[in-house]
Amino acid sequence: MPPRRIEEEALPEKLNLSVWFKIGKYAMRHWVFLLISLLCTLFVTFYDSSFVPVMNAGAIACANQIELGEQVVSDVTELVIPVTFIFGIKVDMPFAAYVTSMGVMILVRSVLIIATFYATNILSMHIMVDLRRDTFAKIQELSFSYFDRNSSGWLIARMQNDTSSIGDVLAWALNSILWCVFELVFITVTMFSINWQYSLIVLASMPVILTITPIFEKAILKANRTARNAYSHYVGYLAESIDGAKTVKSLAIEDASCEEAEKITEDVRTKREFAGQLNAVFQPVITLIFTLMIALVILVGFRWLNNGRVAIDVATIILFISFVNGVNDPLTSIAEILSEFMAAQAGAEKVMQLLEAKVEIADSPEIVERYGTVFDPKKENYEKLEGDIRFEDVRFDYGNGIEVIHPLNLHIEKGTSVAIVGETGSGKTTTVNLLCRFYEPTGGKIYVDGVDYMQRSLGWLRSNIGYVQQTPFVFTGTYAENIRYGNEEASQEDIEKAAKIVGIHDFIMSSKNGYDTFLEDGGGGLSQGQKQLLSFARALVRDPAILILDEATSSIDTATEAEVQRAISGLLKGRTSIVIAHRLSTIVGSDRILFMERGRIKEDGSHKELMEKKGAYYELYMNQFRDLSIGEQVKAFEKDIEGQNVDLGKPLKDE
Amino acid sequence: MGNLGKTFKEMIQGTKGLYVASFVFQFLMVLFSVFTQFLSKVLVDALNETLGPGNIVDPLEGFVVQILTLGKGYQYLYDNKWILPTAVAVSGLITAFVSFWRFNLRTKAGARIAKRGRMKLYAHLERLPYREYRTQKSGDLIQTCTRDVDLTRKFMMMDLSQMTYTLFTVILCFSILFSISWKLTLVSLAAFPVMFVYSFFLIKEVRRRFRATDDSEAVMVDKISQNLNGVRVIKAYNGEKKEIAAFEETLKDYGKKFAREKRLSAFFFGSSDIFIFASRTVAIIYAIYLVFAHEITAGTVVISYTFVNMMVWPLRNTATTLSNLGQTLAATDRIQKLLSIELEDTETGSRPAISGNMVFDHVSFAFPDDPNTPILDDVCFSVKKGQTVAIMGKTGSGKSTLIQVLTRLYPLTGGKIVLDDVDINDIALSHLRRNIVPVLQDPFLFSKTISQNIKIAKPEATEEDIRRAARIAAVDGAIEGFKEGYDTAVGEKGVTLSGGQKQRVAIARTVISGAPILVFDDSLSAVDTATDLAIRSELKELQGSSTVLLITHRVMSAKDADLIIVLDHGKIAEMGTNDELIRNNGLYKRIADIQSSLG
Repeated sequence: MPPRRIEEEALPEKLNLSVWFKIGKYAMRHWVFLLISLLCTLFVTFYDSSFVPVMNAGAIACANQIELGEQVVSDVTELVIPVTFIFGIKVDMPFAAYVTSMGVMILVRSVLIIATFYATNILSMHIMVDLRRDTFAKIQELSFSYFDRNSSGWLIARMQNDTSSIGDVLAWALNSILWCVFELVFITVTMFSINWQYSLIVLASMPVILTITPIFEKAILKANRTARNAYSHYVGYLAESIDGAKTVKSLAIEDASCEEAEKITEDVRTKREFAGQLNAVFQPVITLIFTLMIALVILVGFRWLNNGRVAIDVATIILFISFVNGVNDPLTSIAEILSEFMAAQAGAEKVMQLLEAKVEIADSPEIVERYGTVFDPKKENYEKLEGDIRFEDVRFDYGNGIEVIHPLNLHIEKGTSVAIVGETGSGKTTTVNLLCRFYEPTGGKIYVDGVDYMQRSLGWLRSNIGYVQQTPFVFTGTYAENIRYGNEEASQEDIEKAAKIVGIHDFIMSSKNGYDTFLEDGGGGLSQGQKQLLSFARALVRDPAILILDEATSSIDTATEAEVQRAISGLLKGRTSIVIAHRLSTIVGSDRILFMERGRIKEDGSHKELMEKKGAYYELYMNQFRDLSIGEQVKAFEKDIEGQNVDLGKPLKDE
Repeated sequence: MGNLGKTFKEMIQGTKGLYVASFVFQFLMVLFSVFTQFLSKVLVDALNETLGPGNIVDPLEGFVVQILTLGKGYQYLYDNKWILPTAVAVSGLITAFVSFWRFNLRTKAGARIAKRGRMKLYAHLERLPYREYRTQKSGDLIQTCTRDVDLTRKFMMMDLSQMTYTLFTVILCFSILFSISWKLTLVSLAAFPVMFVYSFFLIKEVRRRFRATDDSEAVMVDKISQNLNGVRVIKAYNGEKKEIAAFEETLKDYGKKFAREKRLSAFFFGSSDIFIFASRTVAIIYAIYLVFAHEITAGTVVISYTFVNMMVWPLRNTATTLSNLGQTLAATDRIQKLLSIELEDTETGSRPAISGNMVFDHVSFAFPDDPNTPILDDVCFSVKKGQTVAIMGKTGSGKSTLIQVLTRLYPLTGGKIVLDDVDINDIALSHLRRNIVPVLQDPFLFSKTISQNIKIAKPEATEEDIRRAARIAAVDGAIEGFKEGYDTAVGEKGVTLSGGQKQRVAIARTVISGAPILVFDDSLSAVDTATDLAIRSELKELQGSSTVLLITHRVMSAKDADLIIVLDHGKIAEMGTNDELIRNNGLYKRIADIQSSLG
């Protein structure tokens, strides 16, 4: 899979709490995992920041006592290790107890780490999966206008990248924040219960860290984002160079494009370096502050050690040295985590936007009550659809105020085959989209079998329409599954019958597993024509009252055209049909041809009538020949024109 | 491995100094952090005053004391304890300085190495022979130029740096600790070889499960994109419910595989933690015993813990780093595979002045994979400078191939093409292509502004030139209709041009090049007849200065040409002027009749 292009994104100025609150609910659904990770983290941080340091200090104190002759024993097991636990609990541990407790704690910590790690991962997965499930369901509901405004690339980015980064940030960042806070609390309490004066000194560097870190973090985050944008620019440029290779070669601009690549990669380099340099300054500055603090702690320790005003020993000094790092590490981490939230925020906002997007085309509550939703239809209440269609003063604009269908009046009787022709932008597809209720008219009404179609459910309407679009769409799955998509209740015979009518049965049977042959990757191995035949079979197995072919033949090569043509005549039989076609040979036999221009019907009649009229349709029909390749021209000419009694003066000979 | 070394050498060119320096600073960094830690031992021993004779002798510690007191000895240190915090501060300062340079050099070297790799691949990619683009998948090419380069850089900078860090740290800590007490060192690290083997195998299984999760996620993402692409069909066929159910299946599968992987990786982290914590703890407990046995001082207790701690973490990571190696090897294999494709030599050859005289001398061509089907068969004709030649013929008659062999996108299999007495095979490719500029059937515009697209082959073109070219291509009106005129961006971030507009911008791009030979490969097909006429009458202006090859289906477009060639199955079926061919009463005449009768 090629890497998806990374979108360029600006950074938010501040934390958007309302979005995070909404997203937070996704985490709360799995509160058990949150609770596990909270409790385990509580123990683990206790072990790391309180237990281990004081136990080590105990060991050092014991070693000192031995050295200074304060503990004289004959066997090592008789040693007593003085440990001051949190809240100043002093315990003189026998050597065996010391060893045992250390061992037990390590095992417990290990088990709890496994639990935390697992729980947090699972939580992050659940958040991501929930978000993907919800967005996916939302996508199924949203109407076409939404997809017009948002490209599928954009939506994939939301559903793939954003959901997973939200899951990560929410689960891991929450865990890290807990971790940091617990660490801080344990260290501070442990410290103060040992020696409060000394503790205040350790905390002295806190304001400095708290001021410096957010400033650096923000700058680093920004620099990283800039570098990432530069990089995505490079990826985009690269993809374009590959797509446009032929152009690059034929214009001989390889040098120029390498020069440009040089500039772009240089840009990536400088921006990456800049981001790295900020880090290169930040890390040592923090280390320096830490070591200076340690020096201070040692210096103060010496004074107190000598004058005895504050009771400390050598082990305490060593212990407080370790507290310097212990206090400041979580502080720097919190800043880092907050910047992770910032980085993921734009994604979170967009995902929420998607989840909260208004569904523009939906049935009213009364309709839903009677007919159910598309997810839960009450098919027993569906009326039989005959196929009589009436447009009454239908108007439409795509929401930008530009009307593309002007009052349109049209009556298509049951069982008629209608073809719509006209230039790009004349409103052919829009008319069909309105009929399928992919969009709703902004004015006027559409009646199906004499009933305003808004008074029936979307499911009712669409379950009676067979729709074939220009680019055939094949699902990853078997042939049978692809055809059955049209009608879940179809039996194997129904499927084969449909395939036979459209003429793809033999082809399917010639593949290894017949109808159970699995089509990978959206039918990648099939030709455009074969894919289209498959979509025809899908439409046919539905046995729809209304059949719509939207430019269904234009992407088919001439070799398969004849086959497709035959398939179409099989499809149309006995149904109301609307065919939009570029290739006029497809529609010559229709009962009615509508010529559309700028959202209006300009001519309406049979092929013969319109040809005799010598109007716009006649022009269009004749013009087509100029763009056919020479071989096609001769063939098509012989087939069609002669039949239309166009006098050329003399007969044509065969090639 | 060979490919890794080769890629390494190629990418490091020009950055060697920085690269090596970054490792020197890496070493210094380790040295100073170990030194800072060592100071805490000196601190404890100085406070306990166990540095003098009669105590346990540690030559290294003695040496450090000599340095700290400038040779005055331990007694001086006892009296001037301020030296210790000062030493910590100074050592911290040096560490910060070293750390800055280590970081700085590393990013610099990394960014440069990555850039070098990207450019090397890009330049190679850009000069691949055209046929390669037909056989390679663009997704794979992009992947090699982005992800594989980054993997290699990561290996060179992060992984190697991580390994040297581990190596330096282990060598220093181990030898210091060993010199103080070999017993302590060996006992505390005893479990480590076991852990190493243990992690290495466990990680392998974790990775295997990770790949399964990854594949499952790919299926899920694929389902999403399929759903979005098929949204019309799904809605029209009430497929929403089915889609949600199918998606739920992929979610479940993913959830299961994810949990399976995480159970193991959680276990791995948790269990290998035992080794780490146990080593540290064993170190400190055994250290107490050794103090009791009067073999070490209290100060050693402090560093036994810190040094073991410093060693175990990176050692554990090494197992992970090593298991990354497979990925890097695969990446460099792909890089080398791409780099090993032979390039077109665009520069060797003569660069004669080309005026536009052209002779096709018994030209034949067949695709290498199908040598028995001639695409062009003994094609002979000649064109004089400034003439217009129209080429007609059915789909598959060889019209477009004629242009492809002329620009040497493919080599001839027979005969020769001569431009102004020079065989095109003797002309430098870049020179040839700069002089023969085609407008392709399906032109590609770059996501730049319209004006940048027009002058892409002639960067020095003035505003005036651009407008003139746009006028000739009859696209000036459309361009001026855009809000930002010639500065309107094309493509994803700008306007979407219609097929006809694209073709016309491509025509302008060709016209402005001022090349002596212009080729129009059915490039007016998406343009209506009136515009076609307008463009052709404008092009007439150019006549005399440029030779024009015009591939077309329309007799109307062809009939004014100085020479019309009708191709059939790679052979010339008819050739002559409009009048001659009409008199000839062949295929051309029939087409002309049909088309004129259509008005």
